[in-house]
Amino acid sequence: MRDSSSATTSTLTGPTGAVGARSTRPSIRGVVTSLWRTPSAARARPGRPILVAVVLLGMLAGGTGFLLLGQAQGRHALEDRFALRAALGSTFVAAYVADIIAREQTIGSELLGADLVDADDFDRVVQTFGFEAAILLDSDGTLLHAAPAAPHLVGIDLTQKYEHFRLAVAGVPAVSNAVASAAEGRPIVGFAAPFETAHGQRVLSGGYYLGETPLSAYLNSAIPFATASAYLIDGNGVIIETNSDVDAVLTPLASADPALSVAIAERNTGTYRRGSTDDRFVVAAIDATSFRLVLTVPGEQLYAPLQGPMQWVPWVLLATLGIGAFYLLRVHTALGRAQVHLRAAGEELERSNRDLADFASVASHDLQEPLRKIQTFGDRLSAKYSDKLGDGGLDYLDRMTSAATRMRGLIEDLLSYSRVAKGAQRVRQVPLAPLVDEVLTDLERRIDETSARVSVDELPVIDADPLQMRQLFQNLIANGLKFVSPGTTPEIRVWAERVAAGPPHSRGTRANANSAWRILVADNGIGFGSQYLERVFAPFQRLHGRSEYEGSGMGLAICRRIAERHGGDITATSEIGKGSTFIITLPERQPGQRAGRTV
Amino acid sequence: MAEKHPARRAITILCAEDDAGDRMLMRDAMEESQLGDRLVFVEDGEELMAYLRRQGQWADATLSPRPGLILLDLNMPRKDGLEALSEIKQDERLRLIPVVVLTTSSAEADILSSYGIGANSYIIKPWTFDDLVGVMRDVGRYWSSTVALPAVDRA
Repeated sequence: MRDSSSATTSTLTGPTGAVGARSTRPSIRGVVTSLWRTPSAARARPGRPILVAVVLLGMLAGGTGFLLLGQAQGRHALEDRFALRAALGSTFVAAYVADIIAREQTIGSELLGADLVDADDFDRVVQTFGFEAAILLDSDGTLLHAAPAAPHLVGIDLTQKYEHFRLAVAGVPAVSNAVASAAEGRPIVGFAAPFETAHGQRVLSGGYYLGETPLSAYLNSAIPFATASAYLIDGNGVIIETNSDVDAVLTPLASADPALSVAIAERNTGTYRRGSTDDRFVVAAIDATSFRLVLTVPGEQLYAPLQGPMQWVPWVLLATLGIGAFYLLRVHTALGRAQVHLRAAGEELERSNRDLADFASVASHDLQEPLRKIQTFGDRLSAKYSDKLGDGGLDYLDRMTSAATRMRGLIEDLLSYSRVAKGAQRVRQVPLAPLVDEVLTDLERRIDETSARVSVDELPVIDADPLQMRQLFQNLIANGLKFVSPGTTPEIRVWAERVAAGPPHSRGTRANANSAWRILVADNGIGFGSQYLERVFAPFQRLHGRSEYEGSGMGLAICRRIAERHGGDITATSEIGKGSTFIITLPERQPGQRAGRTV
Repeated sequence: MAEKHPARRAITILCAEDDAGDRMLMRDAMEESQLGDRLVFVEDGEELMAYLRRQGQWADATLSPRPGLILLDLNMPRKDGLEALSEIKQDERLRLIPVVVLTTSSAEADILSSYGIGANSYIIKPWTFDDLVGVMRDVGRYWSSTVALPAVDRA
């Protein structure tokens, strides 16, 4: 055995190494039974519940989002309506201002258009039309008349001092900021209206106390919220009119409501903190003036229509969502960890199986080699030296070579077991009836020898590896021929039944997942006790002495492996002395196989 | 030998076999087969190629006639049977020599690759001596007289 370290044996260290390696293990049987498991069975993936949970959470999130959106839209609608109030208010104020200006222009054109306006005429006009104060400017902005009279100002250009005069002289009607009236300290606003005369453009500016105008009534009544505040402020931010606090009039908004003052300096609408409430505010500029109308309302009141138990629904959903997501994450993480473990275990099993398959393949080749030598040289010995060996020597030699032959059988069975362990590889549609016929032809000699009666009923066409199916039936029928009491004529019957539900090990596929066949092989042999049911299917297990029945104890282990590799299983019922029935359940379709492919 | 098969011309069978026991058995079997063919042994793939290319100890063409048949073991040291087979089948001058793989391996992979590379037959070493004699007889007879082979330059 020189040079035994060839390419194939290099995974071990030659045949001696292989034997050594084996001796560190309990036995081939131990190795086989402990390592040869199905990694695929351990790989059931827990993906579906997670998917369902994700979908449910997704729907929950969608619902919550929709409700929140609805609420947000409700809030927006309320805010828009509030802003519309302010816009309407500002329009009203603007219209009021425009009305006063128009009136002043009419008065001016009709009553103050003379070349020289008499002071009495002017006073009469002022009193008639209810101005708190009034001023008449010439086209160059110089003072013609004032009421109350201000002789020291006559002839002086007032446009430098008052912006609204300057604008009016330039032909643009304008409104002054608020000033306190000399008499009562009430806020007076001047409306400067330019008007045309035969002697050029003049400006009449009348001062009104707004508190007694329809404007005030409007501000007090037109806002639909009890606790809402409305401020009409001038260009300096001074409150001209308000519905809330009379004392605030003529004070800057910055002191009446500092937070609001800051807020409106930044933006025209929004929320600001007033005291302990969040108030909504909106600012509307008033056309043709430097005035602004500011409305505020506590959020609680503005959003009152949305209040009620329903407002909490989205938040409850959101909380549920959060908790759900948290647990989902935890479950997922745990599953992920478990999957990693499973995968590792599966890989480990697969690796072991591969190692063992390698071992089996090496064993089948390299262990057979010396056995073949024992056999062949034994042949030479008995052929050439039988006279020298004598009967005793020849007997020894015979025992030696038959032991070698038996070991060869063991190795061959181990090898075929290892081939099955690699799985059903060449799956196609297999009509079982002709396949069983072929098996019977192979067993013809044994059948004839034993005068056995074998009957085969109608058998189905299933997806299977034909070689493995052949081996399955070969083993089962051969067992039926072999394990009979001496003097008994073997009777074997093979038939099939359709199973409604899939077999327990079936890896369910959607198409025809539940369609399976139960194939039964019954004999009238010696049978076995039910306590041995598991044992008969285990590798290298024998229930009988070798002198009674030949065999390696691998036959049924191979059958079980074949059935499992096809997603099915095998079991048996048996009674000692009456016979055994082996029941193989096999799915009709294998995953990934298309129907109608017969090769 | 010749008297049994008058039409038959003895050939040189070049046998690559690393195992001394197998060489002995093959020699015995060849003797038993009474074919009278000349059996030459080489012990690994490199020696096989050296013989076929007349290198080293095989330089003398009278001592290393072109074989009519090569019996090739697969598991051999240095250069294994498949490597040698591949070299032979890629060599213009050698590829017409019939190569019969004679090995212990019944592995499907070995059978497939052997035929894939161009082996003319694949035989699993028989279990008994009688069967080995049968193989030697069948193979020798088949490749020397049953089949017609192209005439090649034997130089």
